[in-house]
Amino acid sequence: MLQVCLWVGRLMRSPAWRDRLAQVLLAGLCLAPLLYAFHGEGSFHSVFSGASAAGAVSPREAVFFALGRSAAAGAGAMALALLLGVPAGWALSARPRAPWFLALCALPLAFPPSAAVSGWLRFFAPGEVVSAFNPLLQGLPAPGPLFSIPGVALLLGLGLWPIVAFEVWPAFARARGEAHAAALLSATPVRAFFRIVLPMSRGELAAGALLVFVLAASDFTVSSLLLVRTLPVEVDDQLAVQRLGSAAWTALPLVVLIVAVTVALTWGRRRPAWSQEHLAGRAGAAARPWFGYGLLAAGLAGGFVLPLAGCLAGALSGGKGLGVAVQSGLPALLVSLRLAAAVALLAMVLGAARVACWPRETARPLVWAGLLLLAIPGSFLAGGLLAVEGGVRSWGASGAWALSGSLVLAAGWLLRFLYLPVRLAEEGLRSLDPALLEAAELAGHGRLARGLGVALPLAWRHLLAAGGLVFVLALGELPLADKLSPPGAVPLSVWLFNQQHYGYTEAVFALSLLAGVAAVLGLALAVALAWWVRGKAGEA
Amino acid sequence: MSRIEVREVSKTLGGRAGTAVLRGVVLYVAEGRCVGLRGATGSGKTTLLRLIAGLDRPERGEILLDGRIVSGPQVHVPPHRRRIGFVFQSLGLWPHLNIAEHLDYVLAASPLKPDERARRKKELCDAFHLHGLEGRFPAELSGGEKHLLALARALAGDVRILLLDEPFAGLDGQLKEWVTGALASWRRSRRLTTVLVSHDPQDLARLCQSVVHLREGRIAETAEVEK
Repeated sequence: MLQVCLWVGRLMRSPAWRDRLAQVLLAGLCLAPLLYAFHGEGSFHSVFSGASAAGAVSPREAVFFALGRSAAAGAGAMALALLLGVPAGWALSARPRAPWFLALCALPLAFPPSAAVSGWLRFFAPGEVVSAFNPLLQGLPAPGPLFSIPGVALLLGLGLWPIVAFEVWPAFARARGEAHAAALLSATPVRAFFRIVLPMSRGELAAGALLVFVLAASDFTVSSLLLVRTLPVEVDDQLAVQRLGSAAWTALPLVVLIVAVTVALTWGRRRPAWSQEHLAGRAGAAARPWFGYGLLAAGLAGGFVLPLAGCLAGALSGGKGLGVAVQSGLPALLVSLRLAAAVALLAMVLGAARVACWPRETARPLVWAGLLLLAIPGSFLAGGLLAVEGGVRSWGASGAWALSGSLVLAAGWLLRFLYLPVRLAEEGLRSLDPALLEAAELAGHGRLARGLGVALPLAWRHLLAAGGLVFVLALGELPLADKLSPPGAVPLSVWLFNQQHYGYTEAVFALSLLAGVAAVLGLALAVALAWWVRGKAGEA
Repeated sequence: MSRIEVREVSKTLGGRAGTAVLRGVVLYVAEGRCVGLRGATGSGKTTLLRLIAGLDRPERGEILLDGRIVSGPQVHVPPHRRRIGFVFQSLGLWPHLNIAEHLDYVLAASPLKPDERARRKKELCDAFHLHGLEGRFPAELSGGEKHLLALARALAGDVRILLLDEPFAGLDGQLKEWVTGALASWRRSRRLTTVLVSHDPQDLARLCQSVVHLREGRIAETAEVEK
């Protein structure tokens, strides 16, 4: 025992170990609500060993069927996202310094999923589904091909492909040096791309594929609206009847699947020794990547233009006009904007704190925790936070003030999107020349001074991008908002979701349009802000 | 064997408002000859090589290989159809391929039969002292070995023109002498038309028959090398 204490004491004297321990503790704190959810009502036995009624599927079978549907939707979305995202990333890498081009590519990601469902249903579902959703619940009309696992995969893939493009384009830009030029001298551009560029970017490709898979597999909004019972829908159903423990146990197989896929892909993307090689020189791009531009345009059309046009057409089809519907959704929109802006600001502060505290060190435990919180079903996280809230309230009224209003929802969104500020801060620091921080260290500055004085002013663009992304994603977030929003402060995503269950009327299309336009304007605002700050920095 | 003709070629880098790197350059390299290019940094040496290779397009003027226009206002023959070997300043080695795979990648595009490809690979490995290192990746090679690999790769295909952009930068005296010797003998035996960019007058004197001096995007003077 004494030996162990001495060993721990020796370990703690090392600054690197102290940092790592602090990061692990912080990551554990972020994940704690998930563990707390398992203490709620419902047990492992009730989910995995419960008996089924005669002729009905057992709870265990229901969970595993739902897991299969989630995995299938995730795999389909990943395949589509790779098909669109890789050529789009190649096109992006030809214009690496054009923020408007990046913002254009982010449009499908920013477009709220529930609004995308409305838009697509306007065009590709039978008229009766669009005009009156209710008969569906009685099993009357065939709802059309979109109401299926491929339909879910299609809509998710069309919305998530920018993730692949954003992951791969910096790697493509690095590979566009003289190594690519040398390959072009003895092979066609297509062969050079598949044989030289793609293998050199395989790590980023795996990361993009992984992110799309986990986000699609844990999606609740699209699968719920398209009536596909994926695992997140099962989890949400358990939460709806206040069985927090059952919800947590139901989510567990998906968490295991996500962790397994993450580990497999991380192993696949381990950076080989050659990744540190300096890839220099001018690109060998004699021709513009027209194929990439073409698929990028197709992705933009499927993920943004078509659904937006569908919403617009649906909203204008009724006699009431846009104004009435927009007015009905305006209070919810204001709630969403207020909350999303607050969470975006908090996310940037969090990212800045990470940069200031560990300017030279990586923060892998926080990145992994963030990835897990982004990947799990939102309802599971909501269940965990509800369990924590219940626990705090049961201790007495002293701590209850902290849980009033929209604070729990804001905390939930912050945890949900923690990955973005932490990961982008990591990327920002990685892009810095280590000599900058070493020079400050030699000049006698402490770690915090180095972080605040050197790293933060150079990594602010990444933090701003994180804030912008958190803002637009929070606007469209549904499962947490549905469970945690307080009465009287319902966000637009929940308002729209509730309306969609009563039928796809012109009011629903107008609300979808409102949500879509708000997200696009939020994205435009973030880009404009980045431009303005860059201009100011340039003047300085 | 091949001849290179550069006719009134101009090129601006960084878009329309960018800097004019080449301004009406005229150059002729006869079959089998080696021409050296020298000039200050930014005088357009690398850009000229890239234009000849087809990696960039000229804004004005034409480039002809063997009397056929390969770059011009309406024409652009892609780089892989020009049969050109290129040694880049940064070497441009493919970090995920080992030495054998580097040579295989280039040989796969050549019209050689499989047994001829194997023979060519062995020949190159022997000539450039890469024998026994075939399984190594660029990160596992020394600086000199990387240069040798870059040269071997440039010569592996069915090339008729060799473009060398500071290929000996960073090599020490003895190794440089040996590499230039190996290159000169290979070049002579295949009568490869060559353009060599170098700041070192000794390299130019050893390999070239004439030296062209570029200044501010124009050819300032041409001098024959006395052997």
